[in-house]
Amino acid sequence: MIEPPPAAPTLHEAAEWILRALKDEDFPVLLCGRSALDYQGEYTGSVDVDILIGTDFRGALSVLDAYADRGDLFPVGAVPGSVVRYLVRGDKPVDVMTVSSVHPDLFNILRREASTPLDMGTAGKVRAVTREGYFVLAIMIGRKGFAREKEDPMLKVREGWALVGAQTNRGKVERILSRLGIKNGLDRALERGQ
Amino acid sequence: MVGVFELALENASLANLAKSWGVSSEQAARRVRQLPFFVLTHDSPQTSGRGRPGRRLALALNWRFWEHAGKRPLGNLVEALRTLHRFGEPFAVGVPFTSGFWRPFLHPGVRLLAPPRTYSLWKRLFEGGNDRLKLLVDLLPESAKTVDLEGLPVLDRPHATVDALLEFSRLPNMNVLALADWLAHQTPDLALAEPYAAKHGLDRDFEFLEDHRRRKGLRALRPREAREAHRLAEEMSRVPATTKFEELLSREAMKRD
Repeated sequence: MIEPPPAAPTLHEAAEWILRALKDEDFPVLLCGRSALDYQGEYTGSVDVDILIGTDFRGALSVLDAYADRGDLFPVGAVPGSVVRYLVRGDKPVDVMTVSSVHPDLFNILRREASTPLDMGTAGKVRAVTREGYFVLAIMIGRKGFAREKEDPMLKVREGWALVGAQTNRGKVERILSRLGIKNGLDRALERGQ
Repeated sequence: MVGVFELALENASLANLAKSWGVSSEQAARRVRQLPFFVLTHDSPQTSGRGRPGRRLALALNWRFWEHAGKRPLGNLVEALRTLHRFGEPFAVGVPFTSGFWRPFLHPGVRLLAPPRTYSLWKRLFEGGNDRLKLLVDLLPESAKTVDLEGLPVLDRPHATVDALLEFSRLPNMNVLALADWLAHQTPDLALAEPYAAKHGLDRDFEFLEDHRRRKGLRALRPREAREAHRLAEEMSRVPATTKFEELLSREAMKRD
């Protein structure tokens, strides 16, 4: 186990700390969600930190549970089997998630083809999904993951597109989705609800 | 106190500027050097008299914020705005800074509200943007007040509600609508901003946010979006309110080259 997080961490310090805790046990991780984009100079409005775990999600949760027992983390909610929300030191929100049930290759494809390294200070280099990766992930989760139960599973996709779509490589998103077995997934996501 | 923008428009003397700020001329000159869009010149409208004419405040004619915004445009903007606020310049900031009332978040549109006297100057110096971030200058409503949040003059809660609605109608980000929803439910004197909403044709939307009762004439909102925003507002309200806007700005500094 690593040392406890700072007493009153900033959101970034909380991110560095939990990434170090996961890397310390060699879990493959990707920063995802809007926080990943905001770390790359976008302004999409993330209020937390989202971390995708590549393998052995349950193992990662058991590691984090040990930190929770020590009082470093507080679990505050979950979508069973997919997402667990923790508060680092009781106030900085971090979501830890898996997409293994959405598609077995999704994490590796995102890591290989739609992510970029970020220097996360004490956590070292950590890969974060690019804009294209963000849309692939949001569409896959909307179709086959926890967001499919929502009233509008593609809302996040359309909303994200309004914010950063102009700078996103649409063809690349469709190509990756196609390899995951979804044809014209972005087009269809953007059409829905209009 | 007259603001430095107005004094620059009047080409005021350094002595007048110092008087307005209640500091010495040298201190006033040092302050002006912190504002890159103003210069002190020796050009004087007076042609008579002996010696070198006194220094006067003037606009740096070619200065535009977006030509100097660098890799951290929002951070640099915040720094310039804080300096102006510290020097007593009247203006207000809206979205995304108003999110500081609740749970701070970033947004690609930054709204700045300026009084009528200096509106065109603010527009000229600051409006614009790049492909990721845009700054929009609007008129500061007379009825609006400001609240100091993290060193910035943030629009008061009732007017911030309308401001968020206006921004949502321009760039639909559910966080912004959730902010408007949360403010509408948590602000007791919301009615103060009704004329501001009506002026922008958003009076029905404004009322809808307050009571969620369906009515005709909605312009910015669709009931489904309002429901989603309300759900998001409740979800985000469960996140502890300990994050500062400044913490999110640090993400901008980590941008890749």
